[in-house]
Amino acid sequence: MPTPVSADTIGGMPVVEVENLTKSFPAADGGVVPVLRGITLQVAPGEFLAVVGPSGSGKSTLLYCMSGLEPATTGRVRVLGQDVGTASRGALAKLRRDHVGFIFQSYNLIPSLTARENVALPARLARRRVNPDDALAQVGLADRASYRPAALSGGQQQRVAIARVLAVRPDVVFADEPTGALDTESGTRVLDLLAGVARERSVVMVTHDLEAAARADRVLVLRDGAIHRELTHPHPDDVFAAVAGAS
Amino acid sequence: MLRLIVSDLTANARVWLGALLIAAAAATVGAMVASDIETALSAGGTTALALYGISGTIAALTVITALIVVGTVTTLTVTLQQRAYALWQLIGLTPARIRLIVTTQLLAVSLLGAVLGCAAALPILQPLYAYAFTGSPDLSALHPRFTLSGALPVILFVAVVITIGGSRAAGRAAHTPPIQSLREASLPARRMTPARWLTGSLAVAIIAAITASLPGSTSPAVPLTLIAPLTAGVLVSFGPLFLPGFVRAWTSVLPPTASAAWYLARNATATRGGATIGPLVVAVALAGGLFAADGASSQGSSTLTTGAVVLLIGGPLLLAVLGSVATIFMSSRRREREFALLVAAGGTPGLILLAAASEAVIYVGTALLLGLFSVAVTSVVGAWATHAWSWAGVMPSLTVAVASLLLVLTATVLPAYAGLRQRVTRVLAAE
Ligand SMILES: Nc1ncnc2c1ncn2[C@@H]1O[C@H](COP(=O)(O)OP(=O)(O)OP(=O)(O)O)[C@@H](O)[C@H]1O
Ligand SMILES: [Mg+2]
Repeated sequence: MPTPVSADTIGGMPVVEVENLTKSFPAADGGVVPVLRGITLQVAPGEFLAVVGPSGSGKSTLLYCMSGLEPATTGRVRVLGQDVGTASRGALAKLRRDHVGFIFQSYNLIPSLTARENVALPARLARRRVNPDDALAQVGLADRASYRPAALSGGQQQRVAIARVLAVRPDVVFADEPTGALDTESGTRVLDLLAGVARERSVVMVTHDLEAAARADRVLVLRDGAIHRELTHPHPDDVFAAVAGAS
Repeated sequence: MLRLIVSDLTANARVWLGALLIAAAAATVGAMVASDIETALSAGGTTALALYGISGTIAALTVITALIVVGTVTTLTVTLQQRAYALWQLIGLTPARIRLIVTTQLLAVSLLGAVLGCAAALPILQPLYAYAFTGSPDLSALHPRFTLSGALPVILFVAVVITIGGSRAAGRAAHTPPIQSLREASLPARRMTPARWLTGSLAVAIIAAITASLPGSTSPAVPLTLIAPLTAGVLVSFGPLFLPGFVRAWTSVLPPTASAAWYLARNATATRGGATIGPLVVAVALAGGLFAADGASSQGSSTLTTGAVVLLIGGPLLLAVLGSVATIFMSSRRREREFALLVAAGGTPGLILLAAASEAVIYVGTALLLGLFSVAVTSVVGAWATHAWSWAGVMPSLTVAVASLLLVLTATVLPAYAGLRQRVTRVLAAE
């Protein structure tokens, strides 16, 4: 089994490779619901990829399959050259710990840990040293380092999750609607930070915010579990038009 | 409104099942006491006197334990559902209405549990008598009585403790601004409430009164036996004041850099361990306190048989340990979500199992330390009253701690193991 290599060393090799990915869930009537129908894509090192599409089109499912949190039904997913479908649980854990960052829509943080402790957590699991305070300062939360999640606003919690990514410097970050619960201003702030991360690392972001999507290098428009359109360095109007065509 | 009550009961099945189980267990233990008294009433004569004496002690131990354990579980039942109440508020229910709904739910669950618990007691009474009174032919020949007039006070007691305790908590929960509850992914921090101050102070007063009555007493064993569980009650009542700091302090024996699993468990336990630790403290105090009291008053010529121990503290002990395990079961959804986050952050299966095991060790370790403190109070008071120091409480405390550890480990590690097979995304998407 190939050991994962960091994006710094793999040159132009894709960070994530998805080949003919399908995913179905068991349906209530005993049949199956196809959710993803044959998706092939690649994410390049340092690329900022946005995934948009109507609700229920399979965006979150794609993100989870791409990151190895959900197993694919058929097809192949490789993250940093490692096949997540055949990797052992221990190998997957190591891959996530050292190379992958997640930002979920909510519940990103362990409630019993302070912001600082949450930021340092992946590094602690890897027995590495990081500087959580630096990362928190970068997201403007230096003064909230010793607060627990319950005492932080939604946007602040989201920024702590980003600080965690900044501190650990994973090769690829998967974000599911990171601005979904935020007002415009905090949303913009979170996006600026993510775009900053994407300058050196790869970021895959699922979003309903088409303005936000237009800031990505590439936008995939999903429809009924398949890639409907693909736009490179799009103008916001093009994204709007493409999504309108998908729904 | 009925639909809301019923649908909520099914949605939060884990939480309500835990509450039901503890209501039933409390009633079963209460039924033992009621049956002792009923049997004594019908037997009459010297047999009755002996039985009265025993049932008074059992009743006191049972009431103290039930108040602490049932109170803890009931409060947890309500606080675990804080988010649901917030959603109810957002769809337009008034706090008063929410409190009414929750009180109705509690009343229904406690009545059902108490009736089931009394029914469950029926087949075990006879074998229990035969076993507990082996040494005394008169008593072991008795036919235990347990009729409706014995069951009614038990059912009433369980229902009142749960409904009143829960209704207060529900009132507080219903008045919490909904946005705050929705934002808190974890339990609200346990705070001192007027009820805690009151019960804690009351327990201190009772301990003082018992201590004052001891010098010159001909049978100090019985009042001495009550001191440890009462001290446990004081510790549980004032828990919010010192428990988080206490847990952090003793768990720092292992430096945070030594083990990520211990570090995670330590933080989780310090912030939300109170409900699980409280009943365990009572369990340790019951066992250690009984032997410490016996040691101090018997001056080396102990008369405690295994049967007597089972009879005196078997029921309350079982209730306390069950209560602790129930709190773990009830709050397992929160634990699942934390473990899912850990998996996403790259935690290995081994780390997650180790964190779950560490959590169990910290629960029981904390309870053992606090329980031993309660036992030490008994020994000190006993030594002062009888001029005899006794270490007799130490071994039973350790024994109960080890036995509890096995159960608590099962309760934390098995679900964590099962959770590893669940999809992370499913757990994080829930709610
Ligand atoms: N665990 C599951 N079991 C069954 N069906 C599922 C499961 N998870 C997702 N689905 C189905 O898959 C489809 C796509 O879901 P997904 O969450 O990927 O959509 P989405 O594009 O992220 O939508 P949204 O924008 O609303 O978040 C939906 O129809 C959903 O019902
Ligand atoms: Mg989604």
